[in-house]
Amino acid sequence: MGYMHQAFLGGKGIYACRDCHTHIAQRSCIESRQYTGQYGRAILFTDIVNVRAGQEDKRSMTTGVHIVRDIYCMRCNKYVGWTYIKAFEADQRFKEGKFILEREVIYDITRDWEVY
Amino acid sequence: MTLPSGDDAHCEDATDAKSNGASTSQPQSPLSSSNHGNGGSASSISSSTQPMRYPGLEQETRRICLRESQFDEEQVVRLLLQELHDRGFVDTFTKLQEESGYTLENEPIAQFRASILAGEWLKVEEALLTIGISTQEARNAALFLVKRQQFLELLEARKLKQALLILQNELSVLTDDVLQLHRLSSLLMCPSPEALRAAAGWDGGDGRSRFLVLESLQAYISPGKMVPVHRMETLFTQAIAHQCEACSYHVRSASQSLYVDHTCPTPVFPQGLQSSLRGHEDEVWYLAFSPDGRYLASASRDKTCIIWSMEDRSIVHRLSGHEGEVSYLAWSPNSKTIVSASSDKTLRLWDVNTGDLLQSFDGHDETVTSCRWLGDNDRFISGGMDHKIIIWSTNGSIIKQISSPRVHDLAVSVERSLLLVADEKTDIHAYDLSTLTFLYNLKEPAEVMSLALSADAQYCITGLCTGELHMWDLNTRLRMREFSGHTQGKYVIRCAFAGLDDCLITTGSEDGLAFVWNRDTGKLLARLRGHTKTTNVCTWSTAAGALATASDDKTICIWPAYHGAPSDMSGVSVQSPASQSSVASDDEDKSMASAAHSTTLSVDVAF
Repeated sequence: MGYMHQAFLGGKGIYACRDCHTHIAQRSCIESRQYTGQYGRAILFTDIVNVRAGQEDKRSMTTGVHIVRDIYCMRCNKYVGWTYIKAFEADQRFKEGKFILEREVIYDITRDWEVY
Repeated sequence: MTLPSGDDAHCEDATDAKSNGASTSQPQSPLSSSNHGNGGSASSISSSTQPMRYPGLEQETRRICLRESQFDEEQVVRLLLQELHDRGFVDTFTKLQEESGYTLENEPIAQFRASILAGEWLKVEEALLTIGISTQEARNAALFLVKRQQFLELLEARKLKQALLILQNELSVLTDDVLQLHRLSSLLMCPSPEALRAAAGWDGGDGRSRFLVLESLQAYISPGKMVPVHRMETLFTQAIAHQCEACSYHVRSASQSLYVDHTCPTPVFPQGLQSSLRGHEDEVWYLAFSPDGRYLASASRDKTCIIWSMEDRSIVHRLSGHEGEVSYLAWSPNSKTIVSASSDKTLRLWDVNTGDLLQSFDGHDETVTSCRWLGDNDRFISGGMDHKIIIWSTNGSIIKQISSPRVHDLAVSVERSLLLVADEKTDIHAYDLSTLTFLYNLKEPAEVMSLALSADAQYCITGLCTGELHMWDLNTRLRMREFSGHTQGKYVIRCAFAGLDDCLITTGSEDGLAFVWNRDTGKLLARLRGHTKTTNVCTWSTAAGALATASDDKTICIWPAYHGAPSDMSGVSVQSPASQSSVASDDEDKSMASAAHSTTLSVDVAF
């Protein structure tokens, strides 16, 4: 892996890895909260930082077959979600290049209380 | 070989002009008796640059010149004359003048020089008119220099009235530079000669100032009439500089011999992989040679540092105590202590002889990313991801602290009082080291992963996440050169200057190679293949005469410069340093990944 060049986010609403507190996403990049991952609620982001992507994988989801890559926290290597490489259904194409983060493994470091 | 007839004629003319002197000196010349009979054979030992003359016959001044030179004989002889004069070979100097017929300077110039050095200003003034300065402006400028010297000397002797007269009547006429005149008139107020010298930046009539005036006057006098000072020395210096420039692998000091061209035996660096050090249990992230070259220190993700002996490549001490990964090291200038920076938000100071922890430094709120010593053995500076730059005393107290951008890497030049800080984005910030005030910014097109400053603080290199290395000239603040070929992404790879006078540039690469370029030509000199995974750091020590690289494969490679078996330059393939443990970790990675894949199919529900 190597020594990570850690990016830092600014402003309000910063989501970080629950284990190592590395900044991952910003509230302003949220596209939809209406997703479900393997740990429950999940959020679709347009852009995130400090993650590493795994192998490509073809998965059938409730909205159809997608090619995705799981993503991991760059610092502690914990699984945090996945990213869409390709969607086969035309109406799902908008998700390509975007990221799902599991709500369970990230938290908003700018708040001292949490709503799921 | 004789000179063309034209030159011969010229020589004869010259000797005719002073044939008396020449003929009296002939019988004393040892060369005339020994060499005359057997032609040029014995004289081959004599200097080849100096055309020889064998004044055996009374009238026929025929010379045997051993080679034809593309340079004008008069110029060569006059340079020799100057060099002889500078070195104080007075007899040879006069003899060569007699023998060659050339004089170092003609009579008016010699007179001119003598009167300046003696401070006979009236004579100087007269001479300036006769020595052939072409334009009126040049003559005025030259006269100004002379009068200025005269003015200062009068002031020094406290002859204020005369000085004032010169300023009013002569200096003010000779120049339009009002500022300069104001500065000169302000010197009238100086209470003592010492204050005058300090204010004028002038070392007095008895010092070197008259020589300096002479040197400045040279600009207005044709070099053919007055040979520029130390001309031969200048040419030698230029020749050696040129030879060094042409030497790609310049890692040893330039031999000052004038007999042979300077070359570094190619390739003197690198000579191949000498040893591969194992001892860390995880990725090695940083390396630093001690200033005396006896030790190498390595910092690792396994939260320890190791001090290696460069003599037998053994582990001297293992420094453990950090609660986070160690990502930076800095040796004190006396090589007795070392500071480590860690993601546990602390710095630690270790005794190198005993391996003991001397002090822990608690003051950062985030990962401490970098640290450097400040010239002495008592203070160092650190930067962190928490927007802080702190100057520490080794006793643990904070000397100074400023808020800054998040510090990703920093570099220091104590001599130039310069601190460079790479932030976590794309900028380099320059600070004055003594006051920690902001000076200027350098902007890069992509995130800066690492930063290195040359020893003379003239150049800095930045490694970008796009896999480019940029070199900046800090005097002009312009980007001078780009180096590429290595791969680099979001993980930090530390670049470095290497070689003597920082003439090489090295960096690691994610493909496990290390790259070496020539700094001035940008030519890729070597790709070093010693690691199986990302090479995180390259560091050079002239004292140790080696380059060290460290990698994610947990090993450190030493690439010596001067010794070891020669090898091909395309990179030395060594047996895979992947040990049992690293294979195990590979399996771990895989099992983790497969676990993540196999657990459950990630469910994606869109409403």
